Amino acid sequence: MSKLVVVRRVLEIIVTLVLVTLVTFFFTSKLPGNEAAVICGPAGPACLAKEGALLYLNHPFFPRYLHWLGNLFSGTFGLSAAPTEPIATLLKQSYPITLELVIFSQLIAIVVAVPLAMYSAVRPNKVFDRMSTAATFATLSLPAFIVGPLLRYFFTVKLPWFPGAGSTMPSIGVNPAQNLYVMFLPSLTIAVGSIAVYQRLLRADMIATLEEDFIVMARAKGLTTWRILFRHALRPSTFTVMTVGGVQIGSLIVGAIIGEQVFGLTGLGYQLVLAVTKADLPTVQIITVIVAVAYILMNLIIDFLYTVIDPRVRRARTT
Amino acid sequence: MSRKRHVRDIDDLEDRPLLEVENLKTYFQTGHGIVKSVDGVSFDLERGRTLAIVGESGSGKTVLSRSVMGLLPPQNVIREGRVRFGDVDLTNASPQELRGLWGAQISMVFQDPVTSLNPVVRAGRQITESLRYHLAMSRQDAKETAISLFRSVGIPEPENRMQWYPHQFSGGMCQRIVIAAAIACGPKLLLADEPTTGLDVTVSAQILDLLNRLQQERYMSVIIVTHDLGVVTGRSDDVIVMYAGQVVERAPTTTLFRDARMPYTEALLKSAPRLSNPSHTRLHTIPGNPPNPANLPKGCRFAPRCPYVQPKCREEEPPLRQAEAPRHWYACWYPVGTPEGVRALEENQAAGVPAAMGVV
Repeated sequence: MSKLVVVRRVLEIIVTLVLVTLVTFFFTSKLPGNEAAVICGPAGPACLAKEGALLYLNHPFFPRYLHWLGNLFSGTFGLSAAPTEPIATLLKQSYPITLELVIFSQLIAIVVAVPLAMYSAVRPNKVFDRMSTAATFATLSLPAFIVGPLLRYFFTVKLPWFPGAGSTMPSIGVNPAQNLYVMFLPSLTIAVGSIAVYQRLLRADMIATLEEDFIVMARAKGLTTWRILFRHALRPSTFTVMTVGGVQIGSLIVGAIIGEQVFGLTGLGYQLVLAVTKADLPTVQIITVIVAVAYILMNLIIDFLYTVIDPRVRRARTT
Repeated sequence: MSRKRHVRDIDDLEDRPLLEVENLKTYFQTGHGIVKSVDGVSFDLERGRTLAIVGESGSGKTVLSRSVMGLLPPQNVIREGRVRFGDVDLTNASPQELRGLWGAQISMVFQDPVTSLNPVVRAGRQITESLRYHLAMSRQDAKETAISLFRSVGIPEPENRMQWYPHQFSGGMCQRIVIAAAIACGPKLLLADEPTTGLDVTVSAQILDLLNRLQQERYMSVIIVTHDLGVVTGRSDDVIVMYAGQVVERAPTTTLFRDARMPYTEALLKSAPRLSNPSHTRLHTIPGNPPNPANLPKGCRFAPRCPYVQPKCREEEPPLRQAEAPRHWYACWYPVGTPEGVRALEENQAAGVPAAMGVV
């Protein structure tokens, strides 16, 4: 990417970030209730005045926004309302869980969907294709709040192959095997919804790619089907999957809530629900911003991946 | 790590041509019935010689070239007849055997070089992959071979260009890369399917000269499929003229240009522009369209458009007959340049048959 493009991208990101924070703060500040009241609970007006001053509640919108933004960029993220503690502490415990859940679940989805899609595309509308299409559609119509409890019931209670909800989970750096063991079922719960999406999209693109002249030429070179599929057909077929995957992963940061709830994991989604029920506005605001930033980052990564996968995009961007 | 070669070695049979095609048929099952794209084609080709297959769009020439090779879609295809290549019967070869031949012993150069190259794979690797797979070359050997191939097909700065992607090359350069990929493993037979159709005239002449030179250097047999008789002149030893899936005339190139017998060949020769004509001469056209290959007329398939047509033509299909010149065959009841042919044309002109009126 040329310098100009990088500069333009950075400017775009800055503008998006400003808008996201502004909109988030504007709407959450218009919600009924005020943070000071949540913090003080039954305590008296002295407390309300003190907390109100700390939160800049008596200031007009813009100074209040700038104050909040300052907290955001200082990395402390301010204090949550109930109980009063630095939001940063809260996030430090919950974001690795969500991050892992998102990555692990998408890895599972890709590992399952890619071979299914490729094999379906090689023999479209034959028995295997129809069966895998039916199966993935079935999973698409199963919401996570059904899949999660079912998986939990069958694989922790009926067949105790996996640890139940609320099991102690070492961080992935300390004991990766145990960590992945505990995370497998929640990740699978979330993965189920993504498998069908990836399988359908990749299958369709793959069928189109296999009609291309360069595939005929690869066949004429005498290469095996396996080589043609992986070396020639897979990469040019991944654009739609990547685009949708980016959106999918962004939405999963909140979408992981169900997986987290069912298996008792205290990730970001769990924290967000908790904060909403407790009317903990500062936490809600921060998590909303984090989700937005995650979207922006995902899009940036996807844009970068396009250039890795397709040299023509690389050139279009430099010229 | 020792690598395995994937080549089916072939032996030339003594006193027999490299390639023999016998009554080859290729039908496609479609929603509109059976399409007879290739309908009983026979020919043979000696080592080191060039055969041109000429015909208009839809005459089945591209399908013929793919059918010879066995490179057809896996489904809804009926292929009958025999294709012998060296000591291998291509019509009965297993998929594994075919893969050992494709790219190694038989190669194909495609019509559209730009879409025939994988857009996301570097040019060099599109050459080295065959070398590594078929000939089990090491990475370094394959790279050096590919560079020398690039050089021999006339790509400047081959070391650099190896790293380029197809979209960075012009159409003519892409065709040179496709040719380099096709000849990489030293095939005995090269099929070129309209190799110059997408290119402009000067580039297309260069590509044809390149193919000629490579053929002589490597002693390959070449089949050039084309709709352009100009491509054929001076570059091919023999010509096959196809119409509606059949061979209607087959002759050594000079014989065909001097002594065409089949009215369709005559019409094709007339419709090519000539430098000897005064400028702004109207080009001759063949009235009508080729028949629908799913619904072929009875008798001679060219009859509906033929200036020489007689009642017999609409009833009986003419077989391939030998002409006086050696190795010259044609399928016509009233051949051009014979007394029957002249009479048939005069009768038609007198009767005002539209197809005959344009012929002078």
